[in-house]
Amino acid sequence: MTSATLSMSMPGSPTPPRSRVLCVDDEPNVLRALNWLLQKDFDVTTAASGHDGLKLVREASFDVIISDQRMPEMSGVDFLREARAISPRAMRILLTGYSDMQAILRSVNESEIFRYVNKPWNVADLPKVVAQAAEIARSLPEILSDPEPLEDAALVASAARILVIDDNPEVHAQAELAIGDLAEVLHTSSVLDALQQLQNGNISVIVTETRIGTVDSTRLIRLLKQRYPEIVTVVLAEESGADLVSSLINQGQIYRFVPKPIKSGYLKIILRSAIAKHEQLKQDPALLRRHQVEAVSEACTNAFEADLRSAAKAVNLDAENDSGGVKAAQGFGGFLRRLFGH
Amino acid sequence: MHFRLVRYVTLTSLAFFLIAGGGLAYFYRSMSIDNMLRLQESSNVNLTRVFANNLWNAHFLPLLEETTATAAPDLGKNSRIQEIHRNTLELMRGSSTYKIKVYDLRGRTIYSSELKQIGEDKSANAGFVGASAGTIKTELVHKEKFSAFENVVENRDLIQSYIPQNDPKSGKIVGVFEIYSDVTPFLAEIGDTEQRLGVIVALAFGALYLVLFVIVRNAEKILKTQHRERELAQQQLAQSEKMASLGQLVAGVSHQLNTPIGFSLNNVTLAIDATRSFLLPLRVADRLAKLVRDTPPAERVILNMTEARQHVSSITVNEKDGEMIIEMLGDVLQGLEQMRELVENLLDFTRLDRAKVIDADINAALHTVVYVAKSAIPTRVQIIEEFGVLPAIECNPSQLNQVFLNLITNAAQSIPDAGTVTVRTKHERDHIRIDVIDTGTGIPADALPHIFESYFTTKPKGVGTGLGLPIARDIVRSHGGEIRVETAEGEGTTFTITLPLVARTASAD
Repeated sequence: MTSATLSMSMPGSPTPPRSRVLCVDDEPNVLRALNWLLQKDFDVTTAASGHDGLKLVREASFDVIISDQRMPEMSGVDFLREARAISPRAMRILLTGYSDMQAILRSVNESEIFRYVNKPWNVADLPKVVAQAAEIARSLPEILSDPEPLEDAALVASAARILVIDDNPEVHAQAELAIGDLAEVLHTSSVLDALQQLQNGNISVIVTETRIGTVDSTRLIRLLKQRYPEIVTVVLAEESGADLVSSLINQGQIYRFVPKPIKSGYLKIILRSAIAKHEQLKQDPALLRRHQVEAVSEACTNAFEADLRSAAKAVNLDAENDSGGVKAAQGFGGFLRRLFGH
Repeated sequence: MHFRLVRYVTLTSLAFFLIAGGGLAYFYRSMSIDNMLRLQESSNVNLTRVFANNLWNAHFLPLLEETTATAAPDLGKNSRIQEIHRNTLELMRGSSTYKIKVYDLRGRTIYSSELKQIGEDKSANAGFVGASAGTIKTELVHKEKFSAFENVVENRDLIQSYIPQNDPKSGKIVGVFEIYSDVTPFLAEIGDTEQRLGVIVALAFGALYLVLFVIVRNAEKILKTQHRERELAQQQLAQSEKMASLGQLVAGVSHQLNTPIGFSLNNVTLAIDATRSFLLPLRVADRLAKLVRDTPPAERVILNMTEARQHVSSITVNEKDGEMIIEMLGDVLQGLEQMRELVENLLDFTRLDRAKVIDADINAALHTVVYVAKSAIPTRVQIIEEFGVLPAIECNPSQLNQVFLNLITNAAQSIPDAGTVTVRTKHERDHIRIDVIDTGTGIPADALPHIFESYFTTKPKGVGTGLGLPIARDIVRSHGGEIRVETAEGEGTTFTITLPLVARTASAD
């Protein structure tokens, strides 16, 4: 109403059609609150259940879908997965006050959500996130679907390079076994070595732990996504926490998060689809926007750098003559800057 | 610990030692005496032979022949007696033989070294009967007083042998020789050895007992320590069980709180912004109202809008905005109400500070538990309350709430997809009955007998402690009630708790 008056007062400029946002929550108070918050800038539609939401998704094309996780009958993750199948172009946001690990994992691996937002949401930030999502969705109006799994020949032709970062040799063996001769697998057991490999370039997929030795490698994941969004990240983690995974979604746009141990068959499927995803992103760079991440704080970068420095020092102490370690320790800031463009 | 290991070991070893020691002593004694008897018998036979060689042919055979016709009282008057007696005494002097007697085949004493016994009839004596039939008969006898050859001896153990005597020519038994020899020193020696043996055995058993005692006491100490450790571990597990369910609860409750916090925060923020936009119109309206008040009726006022024009013209009041603010704040009020309800229920659920045993409304307690449980269990599971009219019962609501929560969350966890958990209460005669009915997978037959056992769990390691149901049963029993389970695989499970109207046992802590 308010903006309608506003547009009348400016008859000269044609108003672009407003972005369409669907909010799904079983709590009517939440729906009303989201409506009041977003109605100024968006065309808001609400649904009180996943089933109602799906009906609306079938009828109209939404740019952004926001859903609560805990709802009777159909959970938010299930609803978003279905909605993704019906309308893949809509950006998905999971809004929840309940850190249910299983739900978060499924939101990454099945629903491929854009953001994970905790209740209570930040009143200033949520409209911005929605606006960003809407803008991305509208800039890519064509219907997107999952990339077709590549045939073996196509896989070989893609000459994909998979970088495995893990200090557990079993994971390396498993990755080697899973992909066979179809792609090149690079093995590194420390973040320092991984950085060297990344500098050499042309990495398609990263398979990594969340912590390698003393280094928190999730920081690498976040920094990397900012600079190299086309690298697809698969996290195989010994330990997982709701906060960790949600930050990896929002800041790292990880492709898959799987708690260890992973079954070989599953790893095979994941690696193949990750390579296909990478190919899709490479062929259509516009798609990269869909995986835009939240800005990483300066503190994160600094902490990562400090982590690496101490790790490099340790390597130096271990093998004083190891030139790689020395090199890594020297001019470290420059190295990182080159890599991440800071 | 109810089993007192040291006491039992002491008692049983004592009994064993007594039986074994006694048995050993008895065995030794009877064996020694048997030996002695056999030895003495052969020595008596030898002695008899000595007597026979010296006296039989020369004196006793003729005496036997001569006395065949003599009447018993007159036997002692035979002329040979004196000579026989003299010879006999000579032979016996210095030996352990105390007395000899000779009987004819009719059992009459034809000679005794104690002369006044001559003529006595011994035909009924078992020893005599045996010997006259051809067997040597020997027995051990104890005599308080015994007339030996030359004097009377007291308190003696004697070996008494009846030995048949043959006619050297025909080989037929013609008489019986009775000989008494003293074995008192032998017996004393046996007793002595027996005593010494007893001391040795007692010492050996004593040493054995000491060793056993030390071993067993150590074992008991170890057992007690282990028992204490196990109890401690169980307490810790029970605590972690509580903490685990608490953690689950906290996660659920925080979600339930975050929802009203979320929309309230949202609405208040928006309402503040919206209210700000009303400030200018309000100020303008206030000025206008003042002007109207200050102006007498029917008088005209000319407003100079040059200065205020820009401000006033920018005012656009959307009446709906005002209504919106009221609605927003109304929702905030609802949100606050939701939070208040949640906090109240949480307090009701724990009742940490309240009296431990009170008259409680079980339906109210169950309603609270259901409310709290709803936040912790998946939303695809529906909880149905079917409460009957219940009288208040004396109980510890905090403990019972723990039981109810455990049963309800268990029930919800057994439901893989959508399903219902029905909580039903009923007043039956002298007790109330609470059913928790789920439409879950049921309990497998092999797990059913173990569900109330401590540490038994079908949940993954780290998820279940295996103490939920055992603790639940303890609590129900401490209320004098019972907990039962009925299950059908693939159809669901029903847990039934019955609680007496009047508490039979005061509930423990």
